[in-house]
Amino acid sequence: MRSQSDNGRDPAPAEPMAATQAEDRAWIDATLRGEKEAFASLVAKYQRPLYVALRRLARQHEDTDDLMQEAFVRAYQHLKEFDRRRPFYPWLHRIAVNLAITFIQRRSRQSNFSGLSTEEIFPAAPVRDNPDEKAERGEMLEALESAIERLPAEQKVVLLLRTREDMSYQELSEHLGIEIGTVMSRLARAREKLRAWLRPHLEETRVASKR
Amino acid sequence: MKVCMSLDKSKSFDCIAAAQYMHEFLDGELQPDLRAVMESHLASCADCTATLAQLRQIETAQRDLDAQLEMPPEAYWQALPQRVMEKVKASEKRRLLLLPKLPRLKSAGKRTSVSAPAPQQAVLHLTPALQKFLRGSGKYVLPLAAAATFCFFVIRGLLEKPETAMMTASAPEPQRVETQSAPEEKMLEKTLASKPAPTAEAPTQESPGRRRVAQQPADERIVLPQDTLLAAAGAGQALSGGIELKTEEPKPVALSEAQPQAAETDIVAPKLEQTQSLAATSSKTKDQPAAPLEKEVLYRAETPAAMKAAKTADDQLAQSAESRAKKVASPGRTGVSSTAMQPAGNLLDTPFNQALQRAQQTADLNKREKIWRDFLKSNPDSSSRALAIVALGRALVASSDSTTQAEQLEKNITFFRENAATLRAQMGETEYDRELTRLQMLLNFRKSQ
Repeated sequence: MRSQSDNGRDPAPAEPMAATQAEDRAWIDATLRGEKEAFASLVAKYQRPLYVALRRLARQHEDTDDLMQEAFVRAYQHLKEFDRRRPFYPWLHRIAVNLAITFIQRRSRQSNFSGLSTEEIFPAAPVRDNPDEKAERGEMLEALESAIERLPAEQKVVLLLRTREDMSYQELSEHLGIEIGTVMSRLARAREKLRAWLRPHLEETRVASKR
Repeated sequence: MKVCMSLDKSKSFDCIAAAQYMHEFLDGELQPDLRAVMESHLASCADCTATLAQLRQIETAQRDLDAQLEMPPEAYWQALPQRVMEKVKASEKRRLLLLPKLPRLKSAGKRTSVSAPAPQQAVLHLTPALQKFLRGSGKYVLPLAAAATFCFFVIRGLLEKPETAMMTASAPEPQRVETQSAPEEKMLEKTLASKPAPTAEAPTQESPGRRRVAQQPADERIVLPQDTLLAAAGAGQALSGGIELKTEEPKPVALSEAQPQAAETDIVAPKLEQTQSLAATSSKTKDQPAAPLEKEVLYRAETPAAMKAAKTADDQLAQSAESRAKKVASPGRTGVSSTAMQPAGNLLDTPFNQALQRAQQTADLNKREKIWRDFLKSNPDSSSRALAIVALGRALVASSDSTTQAEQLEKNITFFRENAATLRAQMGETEYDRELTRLQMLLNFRKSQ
């Protein structure tokens, strides 16, 4: 995973230092000995960064909460197979992202956008004499969120993991089990669709920026 | 990237090539030398620069969306660890109660790094095809195998008790004189079953007066009264000096339409043609072919006395049929006789046959005697009166053997003498005289005591 600071985003979890890793290892050992409260300490430690990562993918708090609990339960159930020489959070993050991918794909299949036209889903931006830049920005973000939901599941997963989890092409290929060329083509198609659907908003912004 | 390396890096990009590498350039995945070519193209092409600006604008908007996400309140973070641990405990209980869930297929091997728990490791060592089978239709294999095993043992348990099954299947079958061993009886039944019934080739439209015994269920076959058979056996007993018949429960004797059997212990009664006359007298059955209906009474006995007793019983049936034929053909009856038109089942509903059935259902000789006396009183004009007298006579003879009262014997002898004409005609003079003599000897014996 690339450095989070390159694009100005907050790093999801504070990368565990050696002391942190030792602390995690102690809690993991205690959990494996049957002390369940030790695992609660791990949950309390990593719940916030994991929530942010999952919320970016699932968008809704209720969905994120379900994914959070499921991710921690999965981690507890498979804790015996965890390689304790490695840091704990990336392993936990991977479990959570896999659950989120499944959730996104399932939600895309249940989406009811398919019966609507592009104009119905993305109405043209209103023309104002003195456009409020803030309101215009809000409309654009709203349209963007709808457009992302309308993307095919496989394209949406690649786009979200690339943009919100900042995964490299190689990481996406390994994570999703697809070729790098497939990652690139899916990402390109997703972006071109977004650009086409959001063109009215983008053009106005472009004009405004030129002013 | 392979695609990038295949291009001629010395050439500058056109807009098509720039569009091809636009996303790699945006994501910082483009190689440095291609990145320089791309930058030089963007510096000279306003359209590609505008496209890149729009893509960057979308990227920025996505991050703005993430920045708008509201974090839950502090109470959520304080409660989450406890909620997670409760869910962990619930999942452990579920795992103890249910079969462990099989891990997901590692279809590409890159989807997840989470390995399966120790109890499921063995499954991962199976071939992918077997894993897929176990997670697909194969999960029904174990329940189906268990059900099949259960059915197998149940069926085998039933087959191990064929006698019980046969008894259940042939429960209503009329009783025969049980003087043969069970294996011989089974062989005999098989032989009879293998013989085709003569009526099987008869026309489909059956004559109303005819009785197709073989095609009726066992419990609807024409029956011979058990008390008649008892009386006949009693007569034979008197002659032979002691044949023992198993007559624990009075039941009808079956009449089958099988071919005569040549078994040593079987007796085949002569053919009865009275039923043919029944059909012939029916006006509606004249145009129909009346195939000869051969009725054979099969008895099993071990002694000549029993054979004779059985023959006597068969004669009773013959006389019964003859009397019915006379009744149908009597001059006072014109047109179609209702009796002749009755199917076989309805023939059994006559008062005589009802009395027969009641007499069969009781083992008490006194009750049988009363049944027949009541029949004779209530049916003074019955055409079956002669048969009823004979049946009563047989019952009296049978009861005389066990009675110790001389008065009863005297009454029986009186009955024999009062109905001498009927009994002689039905029983034959020789047998009548023999029975009367025997009763008198019994009376003398009782008096001498």
